[in-house]
Order: sequence, then structure tokens, then C-alpha cells
Amino acid sequence: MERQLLRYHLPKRFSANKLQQLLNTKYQIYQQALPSQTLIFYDTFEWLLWKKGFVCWYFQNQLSLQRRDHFCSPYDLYTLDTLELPSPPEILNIAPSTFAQKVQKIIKARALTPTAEVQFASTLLDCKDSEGKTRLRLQLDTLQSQSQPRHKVKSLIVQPLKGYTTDAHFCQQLLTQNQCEQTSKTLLGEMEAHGLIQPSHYSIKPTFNLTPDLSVHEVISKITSHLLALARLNETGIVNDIDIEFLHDYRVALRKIRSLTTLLKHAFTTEKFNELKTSFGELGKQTNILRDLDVYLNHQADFTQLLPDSLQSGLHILFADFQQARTLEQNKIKKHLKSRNYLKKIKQLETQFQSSASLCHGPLANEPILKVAKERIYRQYHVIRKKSKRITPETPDEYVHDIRIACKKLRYLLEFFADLFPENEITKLVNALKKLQDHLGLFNDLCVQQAFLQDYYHNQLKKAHHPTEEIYQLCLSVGGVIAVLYQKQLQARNKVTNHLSSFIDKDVRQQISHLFSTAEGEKHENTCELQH
Amino acid sequence: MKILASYSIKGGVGKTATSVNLAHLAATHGYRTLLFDLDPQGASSFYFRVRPSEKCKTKFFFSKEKKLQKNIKASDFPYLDILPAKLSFRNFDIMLNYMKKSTTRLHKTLLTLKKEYDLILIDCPPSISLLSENVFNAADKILIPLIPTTLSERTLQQLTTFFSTHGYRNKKLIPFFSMVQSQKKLHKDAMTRLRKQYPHLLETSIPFSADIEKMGVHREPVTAFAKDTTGAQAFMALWEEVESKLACTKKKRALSI
Repeated sequence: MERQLLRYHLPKRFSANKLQQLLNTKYQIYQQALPSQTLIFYDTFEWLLWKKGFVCWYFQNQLSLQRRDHFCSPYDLYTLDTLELPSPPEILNIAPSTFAQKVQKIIKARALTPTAEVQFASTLLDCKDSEGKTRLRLQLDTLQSQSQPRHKVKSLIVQPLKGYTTDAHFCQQLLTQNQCEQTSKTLLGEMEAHGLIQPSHYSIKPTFNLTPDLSVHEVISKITSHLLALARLNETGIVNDIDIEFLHDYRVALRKIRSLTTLLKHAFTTEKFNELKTSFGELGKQTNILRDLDVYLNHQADFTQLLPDSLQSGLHILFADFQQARTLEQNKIKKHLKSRNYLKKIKQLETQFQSSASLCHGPLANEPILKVAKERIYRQYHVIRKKSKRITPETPDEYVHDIRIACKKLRYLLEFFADLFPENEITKLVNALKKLQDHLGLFNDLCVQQAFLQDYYHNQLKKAHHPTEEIYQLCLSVGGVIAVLYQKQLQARNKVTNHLSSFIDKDVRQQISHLFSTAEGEKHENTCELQH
Repeated sequence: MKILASYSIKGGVGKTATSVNLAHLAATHGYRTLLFDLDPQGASSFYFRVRPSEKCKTKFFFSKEKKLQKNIKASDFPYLDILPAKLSFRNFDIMLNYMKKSTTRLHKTLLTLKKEYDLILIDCPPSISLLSENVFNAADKILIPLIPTTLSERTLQQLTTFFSTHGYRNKKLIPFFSMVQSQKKLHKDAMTRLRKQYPHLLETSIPFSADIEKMGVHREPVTAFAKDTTGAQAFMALWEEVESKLACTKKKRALSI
């Protein structure tokens, strides 16, 4: 008994009354006009719900979630979930509920904000026979953009009823005779085609469409301009504090640029390279504290699980303190991003990278990218391989962190230059590397968190002239957390060692040689072997 | 999919009113429901303004599964379909008599609809026949509307005896009071007596009500056209009791995320 719906495009002057006139010859028509109301769609900045096949909307004081393919009307009673809300908020912070759980599974740390707003009006027409039995249902929907009234969708849904197929055929014939065209598009598809809803293609992992014949300076210009634009797209979200992912993406974009300039540093003169490295380094550094606090606050529930109930009060104090610090830091970053200095600096960088020929005067600048990419990837893999071979249980943690940085560089190289190599092979390598990076990342987080909490602990003790019950509770909890983190760190390190050895084994090595081996790369590799 | 029957040996006890209103309530609660009007009088179909298809050939009912689908019609309510009755349904007993496995045919036929519906409600004709035995075999639960009078009491006894002697489980039977006139002493006394005798009688009683009778005029379930009346409220309470006894599950329309 699933609902089968047929959708029709209507000619410009086709109205509900015209439709009624046509159907009146055979049926008694019961028309119900539902008044025009505001329909607001919500999604994350990168349209995560949309991309995963869902849609969320606010209509008549109710927030609803539905599969995109199943969305036929905001009046739909059979949605995945609904939530009563008195008014549509600018940033949707949903209180804990089954609705929130379903949405958060998809959007994670992202927030929902309005993505489209239209006026929705609908007319329902029930076609009844002489006994008053409904034989066919029709729904005429009009959607109009509030900001651009020219953007308008008019669509008619014919809902055939089970056991009354002849009536549906009659209606279909009637509509075809009157220049109405059946369409396979969904209502959302129609809205997209008419510009009423415009899903974003934003992704922090973009493709750069590189070709092997491009020179290094052209590639630098292409990738950097793209990444700078991506970073800048996140500024408003950080300033308005919509969600923590804006800052994350902003930092990732800048870090990737910095990494690219370092990996291809010979494309620049030494002075230029140093200048760029400092500029991007400083831009990133500004937001370090805010990002750390974001991560802690986002994982508050995980920290809570580490300690028994008796030590929870200290954690509450800790996180209240973090929250306060975050508010201060957020204001600071907001000011920084709006400051003249920052805007001048970032615009200067944008202009510089637009004309890379004048920016890149190093020996590598005019080399073909394919050769350089192969060489860099090959060399970077072997850097990791050599460092990994030297790891023993006694190797200091700092050395593992160096390997983490080297892996990150390799990952960026593979992602930057993915277009130049067979997609399957690159995906395989990236997946293998990703697994390793997950463990390295966890290990690093555990070390950094311990150091951060120890600093915090000492500062609190210094601040407190007379120890209070609060300080006592706080220190107890922080101490407890550090102890658990240390245990976890020991376990993580074992896993890192195991994953490193599988990443440098024969299979991956052969794959690297097959894809990226060049005469120069191998020469460099052999020289390094001799040196060690 | 669960199968629920509204059945009584006796006529005029409120079987059709029960089937029509419970089917409407089940659909309103999101169960994909089919009301199978097995009574040749076709009163359930009449209440939903549904007529049987002219091409409908009764003889195919128990032999060609796809034919059954073609006779189902949508009601005016979401998630509620009707399999309307025809006068020729009166011949079911004769047809079944000539068939092998003549008491389980209906069950087999209805099972072909299990992907389509969460609940099938059968409005049965008043008799105790081969067709009734098909209903006893097919239904998960059998609702027995019971007017609190001596005659109804007698028919319930006849039915429970029939169940025991023919190997049907008495647990399937769910009697409840119907068309109750609480101002009548006779009804009150009978209710007290029967509740002692049949402790599993449902708590809800359906009153004798003018609103329920008006269904014939409105040609709609009372739960649709007068949902605030005592009659409609009683059917709602009855549905709640029946729903918990049936343990019916809705199809997961909401796919897991």
C-alpha cells in the first residue's frame, strides 16, 4: 500500500480553478486551499544532511526530518521524526531527544542553519463519485522564494488510489491534453532546478583537477588559491560562532597551504619561502588555544566517563573554567578576523598566489608537476620508513610525533596530487595511511592532553593562595584524568608501532615504487641509505 | 502482520461497527491496515462507500493469490484499504467444501499480503461454518462482541465448547461487551455474572449509542465523524486494549539512519 505519486509540470496560467473545471465533468470536486506559509530548510554549512540523502525543514511550528527521496510535501505525516519548536532559530541547537540523536549521527559537531526559505501554498482536490467515495486525489503546490519572487515552482501531484486505476488514467489523459507534462523529478529536484534551494559543493577535501603538463608554480597557484578561498569561506562561521567545525576547516586549509609551500619550497626563493612560512604559521597559531578548548569541550562526555562519580565535581569545575576561557578566546578571534591587519594580510596573500609566476622564482618553479610530485611522494614515504625502522620501546615520544608530522605531509602530498595518478591506487594508499594516522593522532592527543592538564594544574595551584575545597576537588580530578590518559597513551603507542611496521612492509613499499619511483628519487634514497 | 477477526455466531451484536472503527483507528495509529469484509451483506464496505470490482470473481479467492490483490481498494483514509464484500461470498462454504485443506485456505491466502499490511481485520458473517473455521485458523485474535443478555451468553458458551472440542485455542477469543445499555438492570446483572465467569473479558464496553447508529447516515466510522462522542471514545479505549493484546508491529517506514 505504498504511496505512488505522479508529478506534473503545469503551464504558466494553469490554476486550481482551471483544474476543477476540467475534472467537474466526471467528479464532484472537494477543494481545500491551505494558506501560504513559510517553509524553512535547515542544513549544515557543507549540506551534510543533503549529501547523505536527508532533508530537514521547519513548517507550522514543527521541525521534521525525512529522506530526500521521500519528501513530497511539508505537510507529510509520515516523516522520520518531528520536533515541536515555537519559532525557527538562526542556529538550531536541538535539545536532547530522539530527533537530535538521529540528526547528530549525521552532522556530528556541525550545527544546522537555514539554507532556504520559501512561501509554500497548497490546494488539495478530492475527486469523489456520486456515492461520495474519493477516487482520486490531487495536490497543487506553489513554492515561491521570498527574496527572489521570480523563482517559483508550481507542481501538481496526482495520487492514484488503489483499486481506482481507471480514474488515474482518465486524469493523466486530461492533463496531457492540457499541456501538463509529467516529470520524474521530486519536489526538491524541482526546487533545485528553479534556484529555490541551492546545495553547496563545499568540501575541505576538494579536487584540484591537476594535469601532468602543469608546472609547479601553476599548481601552487591553483591549490593555494582554492584553499585560501576555502579558509575565507569559514570566517563568517567562526565570527558568528555557529559551530566548531568552521574553525577546524579554516585551520586545515591554512595548514595545507603551509605544508604545500614547505613540500615545494624550492619553487620559491629562500627569502620568499621564509616569509610565506612565517605568514601562514602565524595565521594558524592565532587560533591554537581556541581549537584546543573546542576539542576539550566537545569531548566533555568522554572525559566524564573516565572518572568515578566521586571525582565528577572537579571535572565540572574544570569544564566550567574551559567554557569561560573559550568565550574569552572566541571574542579574541572574532576581533582578530575582523581586524584591518588580518584582512590586509589575507588579501595580500590571495593576490600573491593569484599570479604565481611572479611569486615563484626558485629552481623548481617551472618543472613539470608530475615529475616533482612523484619524487616528493617517493622521498616522503622513505623518510617515514627510515624513521619507523629506528623505533624501539625506548624511543622518546617526541620521535613518534616527528613520524606523525611526516605521515601528515605524505597524506597531503597524496591528496594534493591525486589527480595525477590512478584513483584506485591512491585511495588504497590513503586508506592504509589513514589507519596509521588515526593511531598516531590518538597517541599525540593523549600526550598533548596530559601536558596541557599538567600546566593547567600547576597554574591553578599557583593562583590559589589558600587551598580551597574547590581547588582540592579540581586537582584530584585533573590528577585522575592524567593517570587514565597515561595508561591509554601506553596502549596507543603499542598500536602505533604495529601499524607503522605494516605500513613500511613489502606490499606498501612495492606499491610506492610502482607508482612514484623515479631515477632521482631512487638516487636520493640510496644516498640516504649510505649516510645511515 | 497480525490478523484480527470480529466474529460472533449471533447477528446484530456490533461486529461490523467494531471492525470499521478498529480498522480506522489502527490506520490512524500508523498501521497499514486491510479491512476484509467477509460478510456477503457488505455493511463494512458500505460504511466506507467502497463497491466491489465488477470483474471480481469469487471463485479465484482461494486459488489465485494475485486475484485477491486486484480486488483491494483504497479507503478515503490514509493507510486503510478495503477488500469489499460481494453477495457471491455466500457461496464460500460450498467452494471450500470441495477444496483440499479446507479449513486453512483463508490463512494461506491472507499470508500472501504480509508484506503489504501490518494488520488485517476480518469482518465475519454470523454463522459457525467451514468459513468460520478458516477464520479461527487464520486469526491471531478473535474479538467477540457480546450483548449482556442470556442469548449472547449462550452463544459464547457454544463457541468456547466448539473451540475446545475442535482443538482450537480458547486463548484466541477476546470477548467484550457491546451495545451495553447500562440503565437496564438485566444488562448490569448479566455483566457482573459474565465477568466472574470469563475473567479475560476486556475492560472496555461499547455503549448502545445513537452516534454509532448514525454511521449508516454518514457512511464513515464514528471515530472519524464524531470522535469526541462516548461511542467513539469507547472504541478508542477498545483499540488500546486490543493493540496491547495483539502486539502488532508497524513496518519500519522510518529507515534506520
